[in-house]
Amino acid sequence: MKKKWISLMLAAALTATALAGCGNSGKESSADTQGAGSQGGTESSADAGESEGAGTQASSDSEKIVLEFFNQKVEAESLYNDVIIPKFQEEYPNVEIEVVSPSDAETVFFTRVSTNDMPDIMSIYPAEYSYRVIMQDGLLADLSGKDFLSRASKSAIEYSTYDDGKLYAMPYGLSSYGIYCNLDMFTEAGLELPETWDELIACLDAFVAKGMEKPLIFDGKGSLAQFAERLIGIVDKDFATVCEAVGKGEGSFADADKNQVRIFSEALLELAKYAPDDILGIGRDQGTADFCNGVYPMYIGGTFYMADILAGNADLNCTMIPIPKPDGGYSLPINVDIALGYYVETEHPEICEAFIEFMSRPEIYQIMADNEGTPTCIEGVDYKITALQDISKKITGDDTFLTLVNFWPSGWRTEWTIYVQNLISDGDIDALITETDRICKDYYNQ
Amino acid sequence: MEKKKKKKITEKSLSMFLFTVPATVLYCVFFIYPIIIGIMYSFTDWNGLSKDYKFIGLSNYITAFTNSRFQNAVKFNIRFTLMAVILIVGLSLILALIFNNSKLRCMSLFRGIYFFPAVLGMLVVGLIFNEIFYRVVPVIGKGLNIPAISSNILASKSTAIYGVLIVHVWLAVAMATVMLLAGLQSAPEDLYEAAVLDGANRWQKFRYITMPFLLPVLSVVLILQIKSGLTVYDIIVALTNGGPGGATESLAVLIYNHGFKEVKFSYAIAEAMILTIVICAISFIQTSISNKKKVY
Amino acid sequence: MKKKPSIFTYLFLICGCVLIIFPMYLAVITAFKPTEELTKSIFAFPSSFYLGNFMEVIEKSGFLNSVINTVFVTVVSCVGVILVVPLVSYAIARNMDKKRYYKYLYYFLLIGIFVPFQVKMMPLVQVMSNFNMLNVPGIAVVYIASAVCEGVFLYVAFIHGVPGELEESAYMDGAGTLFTYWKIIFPLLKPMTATVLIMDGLWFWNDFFLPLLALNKTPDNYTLTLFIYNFKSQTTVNYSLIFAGLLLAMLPIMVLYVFLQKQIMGGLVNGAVKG
Repeated sequence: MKKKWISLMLAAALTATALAGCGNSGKESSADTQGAGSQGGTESSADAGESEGAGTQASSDSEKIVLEFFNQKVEAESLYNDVIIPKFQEEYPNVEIEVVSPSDAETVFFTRVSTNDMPDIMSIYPAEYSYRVIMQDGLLADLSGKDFLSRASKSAIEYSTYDDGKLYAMPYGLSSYGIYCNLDMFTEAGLELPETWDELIACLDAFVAKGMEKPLIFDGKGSLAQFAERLIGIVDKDFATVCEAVGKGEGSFADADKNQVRIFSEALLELAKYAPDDILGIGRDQGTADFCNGVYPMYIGGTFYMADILAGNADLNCTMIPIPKPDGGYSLPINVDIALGYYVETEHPEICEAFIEFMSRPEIYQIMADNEGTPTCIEGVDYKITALQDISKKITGDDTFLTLVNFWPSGWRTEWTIYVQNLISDGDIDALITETDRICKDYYNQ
Repeated sequence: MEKKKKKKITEKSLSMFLFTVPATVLYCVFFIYPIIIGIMYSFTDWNGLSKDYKFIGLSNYITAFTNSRFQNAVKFNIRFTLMAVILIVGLSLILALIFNNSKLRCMSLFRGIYFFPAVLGMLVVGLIFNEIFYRVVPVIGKGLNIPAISSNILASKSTAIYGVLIVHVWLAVAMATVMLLAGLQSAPEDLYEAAVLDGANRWQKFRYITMPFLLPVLSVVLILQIKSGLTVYDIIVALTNGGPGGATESLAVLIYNHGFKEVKFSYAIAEAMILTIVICAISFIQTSISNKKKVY
Repeated sequence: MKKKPSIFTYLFLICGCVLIIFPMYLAVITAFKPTEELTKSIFAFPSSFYLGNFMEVIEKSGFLNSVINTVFVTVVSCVGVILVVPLVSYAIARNMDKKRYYKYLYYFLLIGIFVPFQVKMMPLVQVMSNFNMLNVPGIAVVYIASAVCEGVFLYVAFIHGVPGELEESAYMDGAGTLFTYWKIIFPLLKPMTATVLIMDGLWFWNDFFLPLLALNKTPDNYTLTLFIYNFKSQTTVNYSLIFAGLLLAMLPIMVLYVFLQKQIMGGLVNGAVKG
């Protein structure tokens, strides 16, 4: 009897779900087309997607040109679909752009590259190793010398340029790493935002003195690699060059003139003292949730955490400050976070380029900056996200460096992070130095 | 008469052969063929992205064997699999035997509840257990004054493996129980009745009736569990991401990282092939042991 | 005939239930809370049963479409598996002791169990792309092929336990092989068929990687898992919405289980009638 009951209930719930789904889907799709502004846009793009899925590059239809845009910033998907592409279509009414933004986008992207299934336009991270392999293979069209490049800040262009001096992707957004501070908690404790390393430690001590045992949190699991990479870059922005020297047998990180790992370790251990004991078990989800709820006044993370923080608590009064250098001043780690390039063998290079140019117009990119949250390098865009306003000014300033993951051999950072976690758990600095030496030798001799 | 019989055998053997065709063809095209391509890549230096690659013989395999991270991952996998298999097979055997008794009250309620974990996708399991290990277990640990669980067990190098293990077992017992239950169903009820009439005790009934019928399915469950232990991946990604300090880096996590995050695709496949050979060897030993015990 | 279970059995079962229900309880109450309530405490019982999360998921464009895709993939693949796998398993189980072909075929099909997904992942996508199969029906075919090895493994083990007398007498009466298989053997395999259906159904329903790599070209092709993951990356910390989506996604599979578990117990019922 009971069994029947359960199944009946479940079945009823299911039917209700399905019906509700039916009822709403019609409304939803009409809302979509309204938002899109151009009638029939979404429907025909869906059709085109199918024919493309069937393997032909959808050009049999002489009227419509269909381009596939592989977008790795999932958060921006609806923004492209609802606002930006319709605006683009006002100028190019016969062009359809299908936005593809799967979760775990990087895995999908690399699989598609390796199966020779390149999208027409794609968002990439031009400074990172895997993408440089793609540039080296000549899969991306050369954008060097185009007029619209001047709309991006000089440093951003420089950071996006490949080793051969050519530029294969137009940069739009830059990311950085720093400390999110809960301003209300700072005011309540009567504290100023710290600027130097000593002020930072004094500030943490002051929170401890006020009875807050652990005033700092960061992700000790998945994104510790990013944090450690930024921190050692802050210690020495040319650390990767030193790694290469050590890897080639020129000295060791135990030497007095190569003390970067030691300074890094001491700084990290000092910060870890103020973080919860089980920091290695805390992930980004937990860190963000606790910071949003005002459990911790300081949270170390990237500018790309902002969207989550806003989603978790839109009213949180916070701002991001740079991580100070342990020996004074600051130096801001930068990565190119949003950049677009197009496939060299696409059938419509002129339209792909037109889209990339279109995106770089200040009035268009303004829409992105207002909604997506990544600090921008496009000049003339007014960046409005309050929490990141200070840092976004510093990002386009001079005290920046391109973060080290772009210089290390691929895999170096992942392996090194294992030993950074060991350092946090047992505090053995010499062990990290020995392992760093070994990893450098392993990776630079391959 | 004689002729007719011969013809029938031909019809039968032809049909039997035809029965095997659809599955074999599908399996060859969409399973074996991709694997062969994969194996071929493992002898090259393809990074997964470039157009060019060259044949480099066994050097990926040699590098893998001498790599300390690979060795650590092998150790982790063996430890993890041993514990997981014992726990899962033990628990699911007990549960299957309990559920096989038609006199159990609230049977369908219990079965429904015990099946729940199997339904959940990895995403929800990861989200929930991260919160439980972070926010719930330490509170209980402090309340009961047990230092081992007073802080997040995923945060410590020595205990993280148990955190992963608990979730793995939590998830896997349901399906193993269902399979064993199906196996128990093949033992005819009248055999038990005859045994009772002959005065057999509970242990004798289990040893001489239940066990022989259960054994084929039990050995299947064993092999599937060994396999899932040795290839454990998504639970680790969801809970620890291989940390802290590489303490829970399994082979599959390592393979995925090498293949996709570190652009060493052919090397990752070589590692995966070594893993394949290990699983094959263990399973072969396991089947030949249980085949000796098998009673038809 | 059997002894009544002791009180310890019940205690054991109830302990297990608590361990299983607690995480489930968290998932369910989370789905019924508005976000503001959730950020305060994740353990408290919701102040009221808020259905907004469920409505928001259902109203999202693409949800219904992904449900249809997933149902299609799961049903087609499961039917395919049930048509193909017991057939080959029967042929193998009854002939592997006599003929070498079947014995080798058995081991050949078993190899697949041992190969980790990573080995064939990328080549498989290449093969699918060559056959124009990077779409919903295509993935169903691949699932059937992928389910062969474990299915054969389970079925062969089970068929070994099924006595051969019944079918022998059918053959004596002059019945064809397919007829005998379908009318006599296949019904006897019910408990295992139900098990395989549950196992494979769950897998096809919840699978993430293959759909991710094969169906990413257009959201129209998304399965429910892809939809939910995509949704998760868009709404990151909004657990209430994610859990509402996840609960909706697991309902159908729960229904499937409720119907199928009866089949697993089929043998028991028959035995009880006989006794």
